[in-house]
Amino acid sequence: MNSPLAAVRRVPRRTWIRYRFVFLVLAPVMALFIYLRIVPAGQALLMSLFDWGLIKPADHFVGLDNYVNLLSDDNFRLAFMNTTFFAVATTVISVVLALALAALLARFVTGRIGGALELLYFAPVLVSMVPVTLGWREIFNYQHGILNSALGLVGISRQAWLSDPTMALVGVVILSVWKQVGYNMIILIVGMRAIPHVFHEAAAVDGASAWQQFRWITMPLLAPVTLFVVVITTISAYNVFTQVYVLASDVQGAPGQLVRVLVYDIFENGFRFFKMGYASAEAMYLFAVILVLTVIQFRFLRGSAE
Amino acid sequence: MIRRRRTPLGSLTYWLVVAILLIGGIVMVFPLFWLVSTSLRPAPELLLVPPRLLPEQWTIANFQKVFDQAPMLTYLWNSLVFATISTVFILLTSATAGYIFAKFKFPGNNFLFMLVIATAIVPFEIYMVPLFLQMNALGLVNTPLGLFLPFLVLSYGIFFMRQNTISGVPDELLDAARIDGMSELRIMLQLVPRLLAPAMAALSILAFIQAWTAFIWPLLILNNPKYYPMELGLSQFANSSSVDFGMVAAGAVIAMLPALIAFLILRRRIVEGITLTGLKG
Amino acid sequence: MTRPRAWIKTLALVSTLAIVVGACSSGTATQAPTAAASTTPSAAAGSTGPAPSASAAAVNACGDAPVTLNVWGGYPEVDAVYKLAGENFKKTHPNVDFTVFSTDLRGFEQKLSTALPSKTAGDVVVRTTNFLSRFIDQGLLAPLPDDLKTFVTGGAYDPAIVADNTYANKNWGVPLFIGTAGIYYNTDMFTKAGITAPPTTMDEIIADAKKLAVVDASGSLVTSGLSLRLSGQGSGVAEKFWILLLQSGRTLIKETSPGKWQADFNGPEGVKLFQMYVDLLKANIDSLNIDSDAKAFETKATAMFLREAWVIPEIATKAPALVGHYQTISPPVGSLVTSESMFVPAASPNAACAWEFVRFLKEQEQQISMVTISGWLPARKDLDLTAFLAANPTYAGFFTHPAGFKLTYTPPIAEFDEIETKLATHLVAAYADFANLAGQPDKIQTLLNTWADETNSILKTNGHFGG
Repeated sequence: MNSPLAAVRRVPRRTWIRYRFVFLVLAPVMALFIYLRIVPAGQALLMSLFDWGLIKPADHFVGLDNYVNLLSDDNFRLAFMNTTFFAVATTVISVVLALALAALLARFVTGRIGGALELLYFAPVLVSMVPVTLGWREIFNYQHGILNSALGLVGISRQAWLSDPTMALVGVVILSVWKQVGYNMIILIVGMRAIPHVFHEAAAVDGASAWQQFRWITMPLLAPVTLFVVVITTISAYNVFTQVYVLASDVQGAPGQLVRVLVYDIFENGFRFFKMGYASAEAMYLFAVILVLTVIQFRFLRGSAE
Repeated sequence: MIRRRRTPLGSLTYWLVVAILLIGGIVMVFPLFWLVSTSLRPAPELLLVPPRLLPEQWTIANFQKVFDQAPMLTYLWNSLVFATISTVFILLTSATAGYIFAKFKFPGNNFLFMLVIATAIVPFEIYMVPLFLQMNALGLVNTPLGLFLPFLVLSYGIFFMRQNTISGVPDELLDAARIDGMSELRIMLQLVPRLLAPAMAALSILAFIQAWTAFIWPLLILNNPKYYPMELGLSQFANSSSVDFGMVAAGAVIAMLPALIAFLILRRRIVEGITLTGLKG
Repeated sequence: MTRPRAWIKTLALVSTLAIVVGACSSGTATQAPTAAASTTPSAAAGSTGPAPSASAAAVNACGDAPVTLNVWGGYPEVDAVYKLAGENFKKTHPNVDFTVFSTDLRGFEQKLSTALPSKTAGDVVVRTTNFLSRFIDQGLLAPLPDDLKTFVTGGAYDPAIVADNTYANKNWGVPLFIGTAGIYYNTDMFTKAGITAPPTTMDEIIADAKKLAVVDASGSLVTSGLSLRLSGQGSGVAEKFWILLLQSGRTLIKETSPGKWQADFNGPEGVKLFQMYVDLLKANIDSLNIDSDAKAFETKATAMFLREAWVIPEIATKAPALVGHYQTISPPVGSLVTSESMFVPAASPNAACAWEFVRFLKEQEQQISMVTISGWLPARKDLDLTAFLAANPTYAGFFTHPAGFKLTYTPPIAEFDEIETKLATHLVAAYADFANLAGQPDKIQTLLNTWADETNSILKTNGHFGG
């Protein structure tokens, strides 16, 4: 007998009790999870195929029109370029800096001095983004910001950090690297300290210099951790929003170029223009990019770890 | 842990490196110092060119003004409530679901868990448009419940707890407990958490920070200042009061204080938590 | 071994507490709006006689039984006006109490979107006719009583305001308060630059701005002659461009036939205005790097700027040193106007009494209190302002207009926000490129044409384009 009913009868009673327990525990959690994650994900995909407004939902099916129109939308293209530049710059700079810091602080400068220094670099990570962005907005101020004054001391002319579109992008990169470096550094330090000493000692005996030890022993063994740091930095960089929004949102007068990034464009399309289908399609593009980058990074760094 | 220096370089290099790192560290901390210094400055000093590092005239008037003009305490309280509720629910759902996924065979286990993983890599910003429509349909826009709801589960949390349960809870222990007559419920709520306390601590820190620093969701869902958490409240306040930056800086300092205080108290836990959720995940 | 357990227990305790508190605050949110309920009025100082239009019929409209009128608005700073009006109304209608509900604008719009269809909105709702048009379509707002219809079209309001409140060829709301732009100028800086009279034409504004700009030793701008809106998110940059464009007689989009619109900003006047922007930037009369708008004016970083009337009470509180050293003057030719009007929801159980209160709010005394308390301008143009202006001379720019002064209202089409915001994005990018665009009218014309094409295509997509 192979009917489903027979299969059900074959299951022992204890397993049924266990199944009931699983169900009672998992059902509410899964219900919440499906409502808050799966349903929105599916809806985002569905909405992207419609011309969907806020007050009048599901206007009409437009198929892939949203996706096609986005490709010729100047705002989307600018957002894509800005976000990509931002993500690449922030990731490269913050990871390289973090590696350098970790290399020094994991083994070379340790103890209480090392711990205190680690704390200094970690401090920006602790505080939330809005207060520090407000602080940086004043630091970047053309006339009475301290960055331009400091640059003036070394003979560099005043830069238009907030009023020139390109410099504004550079400014956001600086702010984000500053915020991110400490986090990456801490994780890399833990990763480095987990590498057994014997490898370095053996290499030292063989006459390898500190740099060679770092390049040929530490780095390869650290690859999984480095991969992790690169991936999370990239993903969070592609999702940048808060800094950009706060830097450009003074309604009363401080200059603030809006650095148009993807999430801001989605936000504007969805919640200013109420083109929710269009915004969902844009979100799908963002997701696709992140997915592709993550896969590439996994392949690349895992390959180099072999 | 203290390790002796392994490289055979002299102490001159060591102190040189320390000096460089120290300069870098001061540069890192400088913006925070600058915010504090600005908050203690009276208004006329804010526009000095070139700016002075320290206030010539110290004053706490900015702090008094900011409490007058913005409901700072309300914002802080809202943040605390929001972060606490979110953390508790995320812990509850992640730990129980993670345990079930890890230690129980049942039809659909793999499928459901794959759903969890799939959503774990999707950033929140992808969900925000449909989530808003869902909250709108439920009439929860501009309500605290609408704010909390998406933050009650965390896909990565379920994943994280499952991994930790697999590696941290031996099957033999569970079998022994069952033979001893412990009910499944007691095992899940009493025995397992004891074993997974470090992981739960780490997850709770992650969840708390995520809710405390949330910005875009509160921005979308809330319009009534009395519900604003601190991040949102501070940004709206800064927009409407940018003329008086000393006051805005005071607000920023108030917003940063809880995090700094919490870090001073729980420093080791926080760092452990961050590395644990990062590396073991 | 008990450590983790105790830790969980404390967490559970804290969270239960938090949930209770959170539930309490969410409970009040899901109830019907209450907010600041004004109860029996305290002895109101300076009370005048009963409202001029009160009659026996009016008193009857509110009956004798206790009635509570719910007033809903999207501008919290106007609450005090409603409360004061409520207290005065109560003198002739002692059985009427008032509650006032307000929240910020976006929240208010969302609230109305759920409350009006579910018939749980207040008795008097104050919002723009444009926004409420979707609810008019669904029959959720009561039409004007005949006497108010006659009043609204009888000359008490500027024709643009009447047009702003016309939907589907009918008059709907009774205008309550408006926002228009005025030119603020620093009288000390004017004296110092040798300018004896404020500017009354665009050319004079530009000429004065050139005399008022101040640079420091290194040549960078310290005080701008005229503060232009050059950067930032949203549609503000385009809105300010629009106001200046009105001074030349053109507008952003013009209605070519009923319900059909077309871009109007890329004509020669638009090019000339854009040239003014880049020329001023090139001549260092204003700068991208300097503060702008109200902040600049209050910190003396600019000599002139355009804004609505709310800056006046703000200067009094945030920049008291400026009081007495600035004045306002009307823009030379015209301004944008936005009007907030009073509506009564169709489902209100106290409709008759609500309309009575609407009649009361439109009277002289309440209209004057609108500006003295909230800073928003009264909607009526037939008010007696001599006493008010004598006491508040800085409001001159908002009430005293040259002959032929024209108000323009926002086109009542849903996609206008998108048009304005996208134009703002283009303007911001173009201003940043001023070095390449100054003295290049052909390039500017090409740019403006490209932007006009985009505007027209948005109009076409929404079926509102008319050639």
